[in-house]
Amino acid sequence: MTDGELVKLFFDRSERALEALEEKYGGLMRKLARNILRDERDAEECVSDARLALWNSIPPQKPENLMAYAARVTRNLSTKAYHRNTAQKRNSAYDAALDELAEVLPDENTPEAEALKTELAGLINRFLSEQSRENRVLFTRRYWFSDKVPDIAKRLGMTENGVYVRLSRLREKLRRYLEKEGYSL
Amino acid sequence: MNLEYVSEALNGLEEAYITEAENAAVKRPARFKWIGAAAACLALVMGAAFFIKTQIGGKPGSYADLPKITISNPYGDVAGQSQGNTVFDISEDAYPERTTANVYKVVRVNQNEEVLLNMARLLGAEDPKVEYNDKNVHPRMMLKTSDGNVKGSCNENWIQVYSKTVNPVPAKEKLYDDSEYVRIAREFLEKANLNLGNAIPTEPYVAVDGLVNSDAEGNYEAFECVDVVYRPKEIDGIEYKWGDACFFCIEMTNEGEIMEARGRLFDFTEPLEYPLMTVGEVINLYEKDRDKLIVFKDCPENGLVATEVKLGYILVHEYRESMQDGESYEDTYMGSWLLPVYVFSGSWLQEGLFDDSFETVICAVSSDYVEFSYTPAC
Repeated sequence: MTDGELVKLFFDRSERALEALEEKYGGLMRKLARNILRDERDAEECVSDARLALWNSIPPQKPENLMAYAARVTRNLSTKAYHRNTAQKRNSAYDAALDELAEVLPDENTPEAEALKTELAGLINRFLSEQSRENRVLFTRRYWFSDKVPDIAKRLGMTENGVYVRLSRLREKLRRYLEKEGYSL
Repeated sequence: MNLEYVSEALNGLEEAYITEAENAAVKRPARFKWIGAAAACLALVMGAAFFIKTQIGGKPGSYADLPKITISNPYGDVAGQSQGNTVFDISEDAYPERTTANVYKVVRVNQNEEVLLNMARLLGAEDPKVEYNDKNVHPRMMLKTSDGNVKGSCNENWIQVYSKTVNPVPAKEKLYDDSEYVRIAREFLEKANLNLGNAIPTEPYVAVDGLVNSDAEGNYEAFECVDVVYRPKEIDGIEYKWGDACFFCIEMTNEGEIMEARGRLFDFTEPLEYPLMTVGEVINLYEKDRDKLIVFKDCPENGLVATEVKLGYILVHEYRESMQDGESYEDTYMGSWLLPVYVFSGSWLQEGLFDDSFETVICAVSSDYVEFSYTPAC
């Protein structure tokens, strides 16, 4: 089933839409939620919430890229659940990925932090647009999907050490890029 | 740094990058921890051959066309084998307990006992009993009844139960709508408490079968029956077609009496990470890019003349060693993949190796690599 056909099911308010969504993207959504939450029940709950969110948002939304849309919704809900549930207890995998990146991103303790957040996202996108495809995939898998390094290595046919090194260089490049754009790090 | 802030900044990542990352080609893992031992290779071939015999060949009538390998346990010879910390398991989910293979397998068989008995009762057995064939390295259950009317067997991931009480009626014409046969099949599965995961029934079709009735010499009597075959509808966007694989088959007369139920017990809820390829594509891959060919120990790299190719599947669970705390290694479960397996029947022409002897070769295929093993024909 194409994304277009699936979206049409949502527009038709057919319950088949949820089944088809589960068949096509359930695995992806579940993996993403698990990466962030590391708890099967929490992840399953988030996936259910994501399905409901998609049901409620389509229509009026009509995503052209349903995979990315579903993944984004799942990630948003998962990260919110994560930060809500684990204010004290830190999740090593997810935090480890963000920790790495946090070292090269500007400090948020400024009055304009909220406004800058959107700008920062735009800069990251521009930075990525200038990277090789493999670097973009590395970055996105690690920091957006919160994949573990061994998983990324496997996916890209690299050694784990190679992934670590490449990510380290990428972060350094990002740091320099942001400095060049006027961010004080 | 507030990690929530970082995370929220990342939420603005462009969809194109998300899509790109998700669709990034899955390359060959750095190292599959296959059992390289010849026994495992042999068992794998036997398993694949049986699988093909049962699944792809579909009907017993095609047995003669397949390699002459006769085993009653399609996967047991492979599942659960281990070598050191390596596990090559095509039977079920992860293998985290690190128990011995036998313990693991007995546990699995036990879990299926109820299903086996249920199916036997549904097929008319009044007092079915199971016996463990534990003389084999890989035990399985044999189903017997006092009157001998229902027989079957079961291991950790395969079940087969059939009834001789049904007098098969030629089913050239189905008596009911297809939906009725599907309903009967579904009801049977539900009563047997058998979970087939995401498999769905295909439309029933009339097939020639010959497994149930056999004379004293073991000759099969062919007759026609109605088959309802369960298979995954779609995994990872790839729609399955008949001939690719069936995972459970229920045979019944045109009057809806079930004669036999057989198939695999594990479900396929995990996405298929490796795209399926046609046999032609596999051969092209093999021919065009030898650099991507991973050859098992002692397996010749060239000289293969494939005269016959069959397609099957194996479920591979990958484990990888990773350094823990800088000093010890720990096996980490990396995931499971349903890999297409191709069985080549042909000759190795490389002089001095196997002369012209007939060989059977299998290979597992991903999008960009081929992994071969072989065994002399049995």
